[in-house]
Amino acid sequence: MLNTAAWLLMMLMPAWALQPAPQIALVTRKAPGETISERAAARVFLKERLFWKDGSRIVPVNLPPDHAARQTFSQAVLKRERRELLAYWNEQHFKGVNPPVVLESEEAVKAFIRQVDGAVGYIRRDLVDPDLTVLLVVQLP
Amino acid sequence: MQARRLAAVALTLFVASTAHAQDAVTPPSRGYTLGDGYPLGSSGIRLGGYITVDAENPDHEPASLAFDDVSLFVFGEAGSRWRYFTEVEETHFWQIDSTGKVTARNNADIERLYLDYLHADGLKVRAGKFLTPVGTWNEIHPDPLTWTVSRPLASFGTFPAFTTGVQVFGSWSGESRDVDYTVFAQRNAALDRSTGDRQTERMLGGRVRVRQSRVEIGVPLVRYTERDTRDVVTFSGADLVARARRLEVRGELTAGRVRSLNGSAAAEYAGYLQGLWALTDRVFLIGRQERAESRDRLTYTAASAGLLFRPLPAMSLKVEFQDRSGRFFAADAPMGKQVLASFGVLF
Repeated sequence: MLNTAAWLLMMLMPAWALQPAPQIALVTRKAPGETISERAAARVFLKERLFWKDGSRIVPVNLPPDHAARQTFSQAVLKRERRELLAYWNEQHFKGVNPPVVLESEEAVKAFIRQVDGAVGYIRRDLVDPDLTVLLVVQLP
Repeated sequence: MQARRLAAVALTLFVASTAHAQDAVTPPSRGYTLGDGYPLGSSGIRLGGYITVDAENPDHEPASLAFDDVSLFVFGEAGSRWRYFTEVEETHFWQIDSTGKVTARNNADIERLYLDYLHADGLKVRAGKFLTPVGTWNEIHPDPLTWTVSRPLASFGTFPAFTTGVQVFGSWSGESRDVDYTVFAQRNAALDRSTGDRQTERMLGGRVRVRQSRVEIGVPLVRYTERDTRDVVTFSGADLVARARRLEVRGELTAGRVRSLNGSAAAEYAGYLQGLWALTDRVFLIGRQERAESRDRLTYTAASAGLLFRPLPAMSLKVEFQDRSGRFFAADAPMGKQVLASFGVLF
């Protein structure tokens, strides 16, 4: 009886629910001597950390709020819900701090990283090109 | 005063004119979102602000409705090391009371005007007029971002809420906790003295804040000379924010000694403890208890119960019942029960 119910449930589930969440890679063009933890990555994307170890400015770049990679990144690294993040950025706006750049696609993120010194962004791991350095890989459990 | 305001505007325009180098780090425009400010093309300059309308129905005075704050920010970055910020605020400029009396005033203030040099994450320097970094409420005080209509006395009553001087600040991140520090000093007249209840021309202070997981604890240490009385005030204290899933506890305490010109000394303290319960993602229930004793041995207590509705993160609708007794400032009118309401939008 229990096995039948489990089989029925599986049949009714949409295909995406059976797939593991994609691995997300935090990438940059060059990062001399950089290793980055999830906490450090969160500080970069909350604009609490502004500089690389060599003293150059970090330029974090986001995907749109409804993008699957951004949602995975926000949950796994920032560990805040969307509403909490909106409230956080409203407070930062009052302090004169802008949220990270938002670009429409992972291809745009890669192009931005190639063009802008210090840029860092996240994309699905299978889209990482050889000229990009992977700083961190995250995946939702 | 006029000359200072002109100088302030000139400084802002000068800094803004150097902002074109910022193109690479300015988000491309994706349409306007309330609470995010408005980017002026690719100049790197951003406009923002907030507006507040509030209503009061105190025990001993006529009920009133007022446009309490209209505030405008101009801010941005110039290159990778410089950041500028200006806030001009029109306070309590139009009011009508229950007798039909209308009061209109021009109270435009320069609330903030500063330039930041970002040397490193651990070393940033700010010069100009800024919000005194004591406690948590003072630095993020606009109505759309706070929890109650009234502001707890401990967040502005025992120290100058604004500093015109220099601030050095930064942060370090460890394995599990972050530490922020700030040291600030003023040795000059304040820019636009119409802001703040306490005024100073000489102040030295600092604050250390530790953040771990969802708990933040800060400790200030400040010494200032009050401009009019020449009282020398030295105080310390603590502030706390602790968040669980649907609960938040927040509190601030400042306590210190006040030494007068005639050599006499007195104690002064103010504190509050506030609890917040998120009934839903948009509706919050708030309770707060305040207690304070002034250098004149006046005591003040207040209990508040409030309801906050945030239809959007940048918008607030609040109603609050407050029961106050005693007074803190000698010039304060008698206090009692009051019902307060406000509507605020950050734009």
